Amino acid sequence: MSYRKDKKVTDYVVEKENIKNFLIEFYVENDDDMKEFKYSQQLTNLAHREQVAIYIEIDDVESHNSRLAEAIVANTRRYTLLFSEVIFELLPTYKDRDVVAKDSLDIYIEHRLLMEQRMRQPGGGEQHRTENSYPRELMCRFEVYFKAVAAAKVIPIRDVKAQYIGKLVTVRGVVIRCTEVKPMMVVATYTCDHCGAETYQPVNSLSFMPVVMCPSEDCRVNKSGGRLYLQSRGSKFVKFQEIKIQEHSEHVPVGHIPRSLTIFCRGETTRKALPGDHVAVTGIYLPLVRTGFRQITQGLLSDTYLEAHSIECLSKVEDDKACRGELTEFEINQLLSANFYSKLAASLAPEIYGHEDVKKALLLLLVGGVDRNPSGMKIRGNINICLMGDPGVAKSQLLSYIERLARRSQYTTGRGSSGVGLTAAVMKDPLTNEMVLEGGALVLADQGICCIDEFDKMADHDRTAIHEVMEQQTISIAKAGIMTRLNARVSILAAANPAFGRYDPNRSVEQNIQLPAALLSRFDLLWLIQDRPNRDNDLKLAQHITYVHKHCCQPPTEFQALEMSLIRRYIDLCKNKNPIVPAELTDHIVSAYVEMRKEARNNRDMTFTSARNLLAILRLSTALARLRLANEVEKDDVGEAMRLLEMSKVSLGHAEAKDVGFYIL
Amino acid sequence: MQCRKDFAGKIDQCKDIIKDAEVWNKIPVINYTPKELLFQDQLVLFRGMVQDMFSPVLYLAQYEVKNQETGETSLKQGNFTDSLDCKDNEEVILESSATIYKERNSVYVTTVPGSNDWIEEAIRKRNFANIQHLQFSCACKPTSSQPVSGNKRTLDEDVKMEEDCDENGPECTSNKRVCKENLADVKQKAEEKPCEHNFPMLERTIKIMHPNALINLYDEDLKLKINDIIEVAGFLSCDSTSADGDAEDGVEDLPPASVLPRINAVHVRVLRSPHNPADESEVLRCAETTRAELHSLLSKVLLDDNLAADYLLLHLLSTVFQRKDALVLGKFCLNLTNLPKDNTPSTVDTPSRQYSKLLYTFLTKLVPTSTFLSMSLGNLNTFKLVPSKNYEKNRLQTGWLQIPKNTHLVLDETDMQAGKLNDTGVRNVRTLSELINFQKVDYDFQFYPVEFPMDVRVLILSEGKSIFPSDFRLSLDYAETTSEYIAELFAEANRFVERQSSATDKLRDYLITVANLAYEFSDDVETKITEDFVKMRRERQETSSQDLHNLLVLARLFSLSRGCTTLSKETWEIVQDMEEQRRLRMEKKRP
Repeated sequence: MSYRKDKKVTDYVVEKENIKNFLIEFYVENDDDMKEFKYSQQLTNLAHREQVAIYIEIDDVESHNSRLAEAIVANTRRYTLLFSEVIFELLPTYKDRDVVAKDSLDIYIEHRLLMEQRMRQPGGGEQHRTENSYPRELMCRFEVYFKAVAAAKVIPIRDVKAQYIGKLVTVRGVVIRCTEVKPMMVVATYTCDHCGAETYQPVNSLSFMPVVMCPSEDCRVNKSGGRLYLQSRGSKFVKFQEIKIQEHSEHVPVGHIPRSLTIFCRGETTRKALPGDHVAVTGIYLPLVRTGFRQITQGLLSDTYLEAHSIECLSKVEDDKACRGELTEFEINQLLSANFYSKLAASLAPEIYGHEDVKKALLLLLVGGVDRNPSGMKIRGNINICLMGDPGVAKSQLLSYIERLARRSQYTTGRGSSGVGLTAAVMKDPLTNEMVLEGGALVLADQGICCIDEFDKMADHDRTAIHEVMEQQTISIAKAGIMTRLNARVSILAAANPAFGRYDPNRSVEQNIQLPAALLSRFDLLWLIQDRPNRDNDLKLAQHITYVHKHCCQPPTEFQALEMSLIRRYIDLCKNKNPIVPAELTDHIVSAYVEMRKEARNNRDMTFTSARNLLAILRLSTALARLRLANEVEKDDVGEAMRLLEMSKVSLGHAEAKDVGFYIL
Repeated sequence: MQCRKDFAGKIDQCKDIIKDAEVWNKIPVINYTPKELLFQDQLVLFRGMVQDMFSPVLYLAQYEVKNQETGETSLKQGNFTDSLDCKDNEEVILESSATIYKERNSVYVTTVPGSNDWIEEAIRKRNFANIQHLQFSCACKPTSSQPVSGNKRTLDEDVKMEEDCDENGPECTSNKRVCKENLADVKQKAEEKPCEHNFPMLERTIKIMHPNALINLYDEDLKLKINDIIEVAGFLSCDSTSADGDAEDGVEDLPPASVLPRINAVHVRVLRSPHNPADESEVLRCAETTRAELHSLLSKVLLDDNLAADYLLLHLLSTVFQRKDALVLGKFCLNLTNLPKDNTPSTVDTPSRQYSKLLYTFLTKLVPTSTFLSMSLGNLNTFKLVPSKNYEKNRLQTGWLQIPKNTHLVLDETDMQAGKLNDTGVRNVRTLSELINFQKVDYDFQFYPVEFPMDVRVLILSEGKSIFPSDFRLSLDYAETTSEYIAELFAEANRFVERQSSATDKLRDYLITVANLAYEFSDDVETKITEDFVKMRRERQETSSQDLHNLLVLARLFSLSRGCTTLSKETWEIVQDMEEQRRLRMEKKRP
């Protein structure tokens, strides 16, 4: 391409030879130690019109001829042409049987070839190659695409700059706009109204100037002025779609507008994505060449686009998976150092001071336990937590922090949303009058976390809608003729105020909470956060706050809070693990549970110790094992899970005795 | 040095030439320059706020041109212009190895929304001299590009006409301000208009000749942010062809260059505030006296409530100085309650005597940028507060909350009636609460929201406790008054501000300078603070960490307001006392 700055002249004849060698000779050894000629096979398919697109993997080229691979990545468009030329030359040799014509263009080409042969024969002698009269673009019915190196770095859309012009780049983003798929002319075929001769015009840009006068020998010599007419059946069209992607929100620097990028898709790369999809696109970054008048006036400027070679649609979850790879060994080791559990927990909402146990519980909520499906019965792994406490103890801050940290989350307040807003709503489409289902917060947070603030302010009948979600993890809709069940595999993190505004130590726990037991038992952990003066804590708090105001940063003596994105990626990594509870631990758990029940029976101020508590312990301990990236639950995990459960009960039952300092900094 | 040609051959040095303050202040400000005085490639200045950004476009930073007759080739520079420098008998050799592609970014800039009349007036005055000079040189140098059709008379008339308008003086401007009470009506128009102009606040556009501009930025290291206030100097491009081309640049539906000037930026200055205060040391030297003056002025309009005047004064100085996750330090949202009610219904002819509006009008004379939002139920349900992205047009459509740093946002809740909030209303309330609590607004990008940090001083005026959260709530304490008395009071205050222009300028400079001072406190003050906090907790259980934050913010602002950059123990005592008084007053009010 013209933009290449290196003066070294590449000999394309040699390159073509290299490409030919690669296509013919490249093989992979399959499981039976047999040589599998990956591309030769595809060429045979192409020759028989059984395959349209051939994907050349740069990895393969790399292993065959690394210099060639480099050249391809740096000057992709040229090499696309070279490959297609080589393949075009090779194809006849791979053809071992007659091909049934697939569409009208096939028949058309066949006819023209036959006719030409017939016309040439009487003349004799003259050896004529058909490609000379028919443009190669018209004859080749295949498409060449490159697949980027698997380990290729994804470039943020913001960083795709002039230096990448002509190169193969991979970007990720959200599709914001798709045009219809339209036919685009590749070769225009004309017939002359005088001599009947056909003229071909390859089209390379978005617009073209039609040929009007017949350039054939006959017309030119006779000056008959034959007019050309466009023949749509003889022309070659290719599917064409323009899509626009926008960078992900986490790549947008503070105070900037998200960038977008135009992508041109042709042929097999069309119809791969819809607006709202998360995609990874590999393509060639090119300037848009203008033609005609505009080229002169606007020649200085050009828009850019990405010519797609492959479009991969990543659902949000898969996208996350792709991000996981970014966690390096070093980072994992750094994370897995001593007391990483408390370190991670303390890194949650570092601006909120103290109370490690609540943060630990929230960390486990983020990681989640393991789902179990023994013989059709579904036992959820998601952990539900309810935070209760006096006004102004930073419950809402905690919730909004978790909402921001989780990859998928919804935040609602009990007061602001009705049951419909939380679950799902049947809406009437104003245009088509069709009934459509719209997900509420719980459905939208499927596979994620739903934070509900002011849980106590919610109307009772709305709260019952949550019962199903919390245990069965589904939402059933029977409304306006639509009966369906939607998945809502969510962890619920609720925050509520005590019934009398402040926690009243003179009343019992039940009086203070005033939530139905059926609902409370569905929370794995219930936490009461109280705010009471205490000299040491107050002093520490005051020192912290004044430090922040004085130096405009967190005190250095404190540990360095881990970054949000690091925690996020680590949690993703944890979610990959599915630890099991080993047989020898079950006895321990059972006996511990029996002990708990016994204690609860003896204790006058009993909270709700039920079988659900046992499940909670299992969930918490599997989450703990996940956090260690272990495949098996250990005794310590169970111990910690029971400790957390115990602590949550202590915070409820003996709120007076225990000092629960919890402040916003 | 008026157009790109004057810099021929030294285009790379032109930035350094322009940067010089002497040259810079002589450049015509396009916002206030009539169309007739503009020509292609003219060196112009634009002031405004970055409203939207577009995708970068490639340009030929260097290209080779070949003369078809002689075969000679020459290298050309392609920056700061929109068209190729290529004569009829020449052609560009794109394949040349000398070709260099570079990127340029485009931003859409609007005249600073909410910037107050005194700011705009000062710029217009400055520009008046500039364009007169331009007029003169245009006449004696006809060669410099297309001479413009305008002649001296039109310019004079133009300016005179405006001068006339201004001669109506305080009445005229305050009238215009108060007109905002019909915000609902203005809003109606605003809804139609932003599609074309995308100008957040409309009422001032009438006086401005070019409210918006499209700026092409060539400096790749320059990281402009949305809502930055900038002053940019560059070459004007009013080629009709380039405007057509834009339609395909992804910058769709932009008005033609005659309405929306394109400027190829040579140098961009990011301004801290639209007003450039005078010498800092001078301001600091008489900070105490200026403060006293301002305090007496404020307490007068606050019906002799000294405590309220203290809080309002500090509120006017507040700025966010630290931000981390959910923690925002330095915000100072003040809620003034118990405002005097206006009993006489305001008619169309007489300016409103509603206290909140009078107070706002008075404040506009002191602060550079401000916005007034009347929180009536209808407004809450219809306002488009949050800017949103329109993918059809590829534009960020502005909302009321797209305002620059340190704008005073006054929420008037006295108009609120009981009723039902609709979907938009609920969302608006939530947006405003979020703005107050976290100083951020989530702009709507349809596929996801993007968080934009803000630094806005929110003042809530209400009769009782506001529906919005606030950091400091204070009920106004005053003797019985009549609305006539209040109107008279404000008229007097306004008169003072306008007559004593040098004193007023001092106040304005003071407000901006003091707010941006660095600040610190010593270790022994720190220990005192911590001990006091422990004591407070013991004495009053409800004391929360938020109270300490508030106290520290107050202490910071109070020190700064007196021109001190360190916190003294006395100030700390005073501030504690202020908070104590405020709390007592609030408790007294709550029977």
